[in-house]
Amino acid sequence: MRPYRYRVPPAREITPQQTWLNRRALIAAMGAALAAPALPRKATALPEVVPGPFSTDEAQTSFEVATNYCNFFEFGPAKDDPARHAHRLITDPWSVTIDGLVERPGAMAMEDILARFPLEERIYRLRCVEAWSMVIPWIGFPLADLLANVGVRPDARHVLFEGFDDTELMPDHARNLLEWPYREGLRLDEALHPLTILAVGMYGQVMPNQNGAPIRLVVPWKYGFKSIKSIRRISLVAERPVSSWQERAPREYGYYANVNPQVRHPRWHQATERRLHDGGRIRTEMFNGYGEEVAHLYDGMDLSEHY
Amino acid sequence: MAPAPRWRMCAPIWAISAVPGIWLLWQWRAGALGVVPDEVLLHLTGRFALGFLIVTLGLGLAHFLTGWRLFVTARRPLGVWCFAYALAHAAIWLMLDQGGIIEFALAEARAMVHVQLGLAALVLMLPLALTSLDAAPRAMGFGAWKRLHLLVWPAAALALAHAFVVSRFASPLLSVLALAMAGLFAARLWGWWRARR
Repeated sequence: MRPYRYRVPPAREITPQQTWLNRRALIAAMGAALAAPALPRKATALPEVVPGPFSTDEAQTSFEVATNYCNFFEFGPAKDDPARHAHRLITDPWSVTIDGLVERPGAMAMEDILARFPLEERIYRLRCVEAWSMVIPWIGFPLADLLANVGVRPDARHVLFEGFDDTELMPDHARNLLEWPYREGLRLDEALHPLTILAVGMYGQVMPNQNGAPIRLVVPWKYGFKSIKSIRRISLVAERPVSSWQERAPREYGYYANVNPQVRHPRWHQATERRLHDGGRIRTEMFNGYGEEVAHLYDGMDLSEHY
Repeated sequence: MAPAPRWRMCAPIWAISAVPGIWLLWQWRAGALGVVPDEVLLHLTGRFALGFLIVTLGLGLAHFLTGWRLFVTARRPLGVWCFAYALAHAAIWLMLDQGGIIEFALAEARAMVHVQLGLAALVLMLPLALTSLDAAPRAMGFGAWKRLHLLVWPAAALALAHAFVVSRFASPLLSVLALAMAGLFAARLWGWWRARR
């Protein structure tokens, strides 16, 4: 009986060692990639953060609620759309273009921004025009610091902010919701007010994508839509700009958009608000409770006309 | 074969109509409605009510086209369930959205058109729900009962207007619903016109 012999494959059919080693590495990498979304992504760690002024001692909204109930229309109109889709936004590298009526225009890289401006924690109330509110510990620095750094020219009166307009990042149902990029504006004295900050983090962490990573505006006495997310451009201008929501529905959204329980909105009752973390409804305060700090900015103005 | 008794036909309709509500309750208790469940409860009960409304309105036409008695039998239970979901919607608004604070709810009802439209639709549906037992048409006379139940049309118009006011972006689903309702109303008008000749 002839002993059985293993068939010897021709040399051209033998997989080279390098290839099958690569395949193992590839499978291991796939496993790691599957596990990765579960881990908090910290592209850039934040430098030292010190407690800042104006913080409230009210109960804070949980991180879970603040990161899963978001208005970020670039990623869709539903409250959970940003949490589902904002991972597509690549925030590293990122730079903010500063131009218009400034002494030193140019692009500022996120690393430079984080290195140049000392970070503070500011625990602010956030009141949305949709009549809900949160209390959020932001990490950021006064917008006034950045404006001082680039030098505002004397003829500048307003600050225009722009988000991103890469529509391929947006889910299909978000692409035509508004004119992109999202635009917002502040009068120069509002922009220079010490309450106004550029936030780069919250809850002690780098800003989550769905909350406007890597850098967003926070103006606590105005409705939330003024606090533009994922800023790409800051322009100092002479004329008052038109913000995105104002352009879409001027009867509903004004340029100032100060929190004001007396000014009626056709869609939401502004006299009261729901604190999302405890489910309770409370009375809305004029200027979201920051009247002592900001009311003087609007002396002599009819706020029912300049809403 | 004798026709099945009415309750034997109605029971499955009642059971099926309860499914969305039971599913929603179960999701709520399981914590599956996201980080702000009150809002999901509010929105979904409103949608359920609109869904049952359009189906209820469509059954008359479905009966006319097919001649199946089942469609007529199903109409009253589905109408009652439409009212039940609308009532749940209003109760969730009052107890969860407004935090059960009557003063806030009254202020919002005074100020906001969508609340007024929704409450008006609910009020119009109340007599229809109250006269939904077999005894009602017998007691008040079938003609009067039928005339009373024409209130479903203004109630539907108010509910639709309510939905349009609360939606910020153009909703294709809502437009389809409006077209369907307009179509059904036109069919109804045509039916009356034909019956008169």
